[in-house]
Amino acid sequence: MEIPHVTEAHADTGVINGKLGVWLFLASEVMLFGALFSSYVILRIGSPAWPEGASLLNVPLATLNTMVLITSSVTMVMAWASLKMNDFGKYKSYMGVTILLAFVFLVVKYFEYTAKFDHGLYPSTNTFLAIYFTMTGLHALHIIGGIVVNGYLLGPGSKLWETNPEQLANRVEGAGLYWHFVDLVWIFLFPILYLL
Amino acid sequence: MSEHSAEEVKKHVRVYVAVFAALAVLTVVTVAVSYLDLPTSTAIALALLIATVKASLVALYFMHLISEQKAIVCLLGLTASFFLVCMYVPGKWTTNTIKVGSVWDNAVPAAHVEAGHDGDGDHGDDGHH
Repeated sequence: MEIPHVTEAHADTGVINGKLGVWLFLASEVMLFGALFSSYVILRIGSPAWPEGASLLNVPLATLNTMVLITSSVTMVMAWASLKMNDFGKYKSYMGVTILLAFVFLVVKYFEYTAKFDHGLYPSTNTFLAIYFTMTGLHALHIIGGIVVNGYLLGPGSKLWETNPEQLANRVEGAGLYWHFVDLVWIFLFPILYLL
Repeated sequence: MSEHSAEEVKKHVRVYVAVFAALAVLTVVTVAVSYLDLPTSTAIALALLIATVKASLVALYFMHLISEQKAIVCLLGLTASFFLVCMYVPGKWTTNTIKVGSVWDNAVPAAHVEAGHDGDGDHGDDGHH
């Protein structure tokens, strides 16, 4: 059976089915992270004291990671734009850089986590660190998910270029929506955990 | 999508670079502001304002929401309203209504670290400082 509306927009929604699916998924993701942001506010208001993020966390490393994610968002959208401009070679380069930057983010995060553990700072240490590890941990899982999807689209998935280039561009656009969302979550996590 | 011709995409690329520059500048600004020692409420308002501007830039340009179909925009409008409820609910609480005993006494980690605790996780269970 053929999947309907992979390149032709559905008459009822005005978009291809894949895009509607990704947006519905992202809507559920907003609620998942929304519940955690809400919990953060409850925990913070309910605490008699709250540490300044900078007193426990490494702000320069997190600033670097913010730049890394922003850059990877640009390379992701450039990967899609390259396909739309019929430049498969550039697509491969941009997608490769996007995945590389995702790994850079995880490596920096790894150093941050191990530095905390070395100082005896665990999720069980206090309420602030509990919500810090929960939110950044879930976010890191999303980064890994993005690496898997983008890795597929760079590797075996890119064969679609020979048979249906527009469908490949649409898949990259869908993966890009997810990747930009992961960037967007970090844009909020960075100030509330590190700067405030 | 079919509405993105190669010509239009070329114009988009210039916008992407501009948005990237704006995001980088705003990141530096938000970090710089955090070193100013503003009152907590001002600092929170300013940091959230900058984060919202950055998030909007990503959503509008990278995620193409600025030219997206009505169905998607409506879907996100609905999501946003539920998200706002999510954020409004905890605002109704105060310290008194959700104090949960000893859990909160662990909220000041710096003090514990300085006091020589090695963070082995067994302090604070009896609820005193």
